[in-house]
Formats: sequence, structure tokens, C-alpha cells
Amino acid sequence: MKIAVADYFTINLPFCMNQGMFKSSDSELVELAKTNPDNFEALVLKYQQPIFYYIRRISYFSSEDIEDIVQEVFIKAYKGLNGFDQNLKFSSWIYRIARNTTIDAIRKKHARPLTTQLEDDELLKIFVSSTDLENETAMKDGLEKVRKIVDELPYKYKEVMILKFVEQKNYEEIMDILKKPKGTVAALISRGRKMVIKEAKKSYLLLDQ
Amino acid sequence: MEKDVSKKVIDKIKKEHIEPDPAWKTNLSSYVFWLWLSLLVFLSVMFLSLVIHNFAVLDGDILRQLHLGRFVGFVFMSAPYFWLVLFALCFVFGYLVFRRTKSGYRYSLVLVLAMFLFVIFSLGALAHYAKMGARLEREVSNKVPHLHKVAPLAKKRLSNPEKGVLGGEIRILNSSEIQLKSFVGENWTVHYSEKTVLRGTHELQKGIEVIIFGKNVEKRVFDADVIKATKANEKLRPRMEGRKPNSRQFRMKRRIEPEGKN
Repeated sequence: MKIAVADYFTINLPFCMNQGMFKSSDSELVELAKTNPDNFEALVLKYQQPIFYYIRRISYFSSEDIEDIVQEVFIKAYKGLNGFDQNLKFSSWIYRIARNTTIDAIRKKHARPLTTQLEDDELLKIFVSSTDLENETAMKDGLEKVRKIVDELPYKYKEVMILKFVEQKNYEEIMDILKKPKGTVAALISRGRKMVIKEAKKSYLLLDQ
Repeated sequence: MEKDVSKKVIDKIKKEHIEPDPAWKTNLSSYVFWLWLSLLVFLSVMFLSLVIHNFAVLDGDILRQLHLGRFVGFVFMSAPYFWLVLFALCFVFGYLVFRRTKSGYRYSLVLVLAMFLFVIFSLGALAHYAKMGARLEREVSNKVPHLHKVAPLAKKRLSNPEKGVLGGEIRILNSSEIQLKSFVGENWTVHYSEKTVLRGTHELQKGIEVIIFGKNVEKRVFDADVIKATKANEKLRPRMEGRKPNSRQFRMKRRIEPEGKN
């Protein structure tokens, strides 16, 4: 019997969480984890799923490979706990480590990801947010064209649009994850949107105005 | 994600006795960047003080003499390009290194540039007023043998008779003629008259360094319109224009004058 992810985490809640550790802030958890690795488990449990999906969205790796990368991400994070900047959100920090580890893994395979593994609804989120379309369901007919448009975006635009429209991160968080100034992030999003609109018009998904 | 990796992560940490790296180790790259940044700011300040020192020779007297158009041309001709390029390189690398520090990416381009310009120009101006530019130029030209080929001394660049500017040291002085050894080592005869304007000094003396504005009339012969004592002489002979010399200056004047009147 296949157990849903949410059920799995509910059934297997570790001891630390039953003690109310989930109520602590991430910064407090980081401080606790420095003294005892068992305390790090709460952070892993909280972020393993979002990190898994984030890596899948920005890469073309199989689930098994992504799980290995997720493990590597948390080991790196554990080693670097003393370097964690309290001015950052822990989520931004762990996303940054995940992004860098994924890019390293992609480089090891000597290739940039030509396609990413975005679900249909995620593709539509990017497309609709870029084009300001109101009727998302109407676009489902042209899904293959949408996939082609998003897949063919240069990687630097695609990753920033995934963070903004799929991961729902704000500018500050994207800035911290990518380590790029706010103006650069805004420019990447704006240029990415323009590219999507241009290609959508070419593919007759949007009308010229 | 179907598998819970938390157990694997914690087991690996325990099994391999992995511990959080000490703070100094995780922050090492940050310290290295700050060290680089400090070094580049220091170098930028030093090169800027050299640039200011080189431009400071072009003071108001030269502007008045050459008029604006010619003055601007003269500035371009005599600009210390070697130091300017080094300053620009250090400035740009400093900016890039700042961006690579732990939170350097968080600041806007305008803010970072404004901050950099303010800090470097303030320190550069202070270094110039502390005479570091002049000292540095002297030290560097003494210690680096062929540097003068790419970075001529400030006063040497001011010696350009074809453009109507000649600089050098007065070797022989008489009532209408100066024998001058130019900053580039050439011997020149300079004619002057009552109409010639003196600046920076109230009288000409043997041994002082001057910049002469006028006309190159023939080979190694120059007609002077304005003769200006350079700032290098100010320590030996303070300016007397418009004020009475104090006793110390008076003693210095007395000591210099007998040699000066040939």
C-alpha cells in the first residue's frame, strides 16, 4: 500500500517533534542542532520535501539521484551550521545550499539541464503569471506549447521564475537564495516574462495587441 | 518524496562523527574576501593620492595662464594615465570583491558605488594632504628602475615646450636670460623681460624649480610669458606675496639670496 507523503510524515513523527520542537523557530532549532545532531532532525523533516521538489524543478535528475542530493544538502547544512547568518531565513539558506549542490551535480554530468521536471500546473503557474492571463483553464489546451516555451527559456531566467511563481518566494528570499542583488533579480524576472510573452505570441497562445 | 531521508542523514552524521565546522572555518572565505577588499581599498587610496598629486601641479595659475580650452587639453595631455589605470583596476576589483562578501549582494549598485567613491576619495584626499602621493612617487621612482618610462614623474609630464610649457631647474640667471636644465635633462635658454609675470615667488633664484609658459622660438630657446615656481620650492622658500616674512623666513631668505643673484 502506498502511503501519501503527508500521511507518512504524520505517522512517523519523531520523538523530538512530540516534545514540541516543531514550535521552535528555525533559528532556535539551528542553535539546538549545534549541540546535538538529534535536534537537527526537526529541520530535516521540515525542509526535506520542499527541497526535494525544488531540486526536481530545477534539474532533470531521477528521484533516486535527487534523494542523494537532498541528503548531501542536509549534511552540508549541518557542517555549516556555525556559518549560518541569523539575518537570513533558514529556508533561504537551505534553498541556496540546495541550488549550489544541484548545480555542482549538473556540472559533474558536464551538461546544463535542457529540460526541467515541472508538473503541468507548475508550468501553467509560470506561464499565467508571466502573461497576466486570467483564465488558466483555457491554457490547458496549449500545454505542450507552454512546456516548450518554458523549457526553452535560458536557465538563469527559468530558475528565477521557478522561485518566484512556483516556490512563491519574495524578492528578498530570491535575492538570498541566488546571492544576487535585488535589481538583478527583478531584471531577470522581467526579461524572463518578456521572453515568455514573445514566444507565446509566436505560438499564437497570445494575441498581438 | 516518498522516502524520509532524515533518518539516513542523522545516522550518517552519527556514524561518521560529522560535526559542525568551527565558525572560523565556515567564515574563512568571508575573511579572505574582506582581506582582499581591504588591500584593494588601500591600493586604490594610494593610487588615487598619486593621481591627485599629479593633477595638483595644475593649479589655478596654470588655468589662468592657459585659459580653459587649452587647460583642458593640457590636463588630458599630462594626465597620469598609468596611475589612473591602476586606480581604476583596483576600484573595479574592489567592487567585485565586495559583491562576493557574505552580504555584499544585498546592497544596490548605486549605494555600493556611492559608498566606495566616498570612502576612497576621502581617504585619497587625506593621503594627498599627508603628502603620501609625493612620497610614494619619489620612493617608487627610486626603487623601480624603468617605471619612469610608463609613469613619468608629475613634473616631467609638465615639460612640453611644443605646447608652450617648459619645466626645469634654474642653473644660471642673469637680467634677461635663464639657463635652465629641464626636468627631462635638456639645457634650455629662456628669455624673459619686465613683462614676464612671476608667480609663486617674488623673485627668481638659482637652484629653484620653475614651470615656464611661453613660446618655443627655436631649438632649445624659449620665450617666457609666465614663470611659476613649483610647489617643490615652497619648503625652501615660503611664499612672501602679500605678507611680511616672519623671522625664520627672513633668515632663510638672507641665506638663499647671495647664491641667487648672479
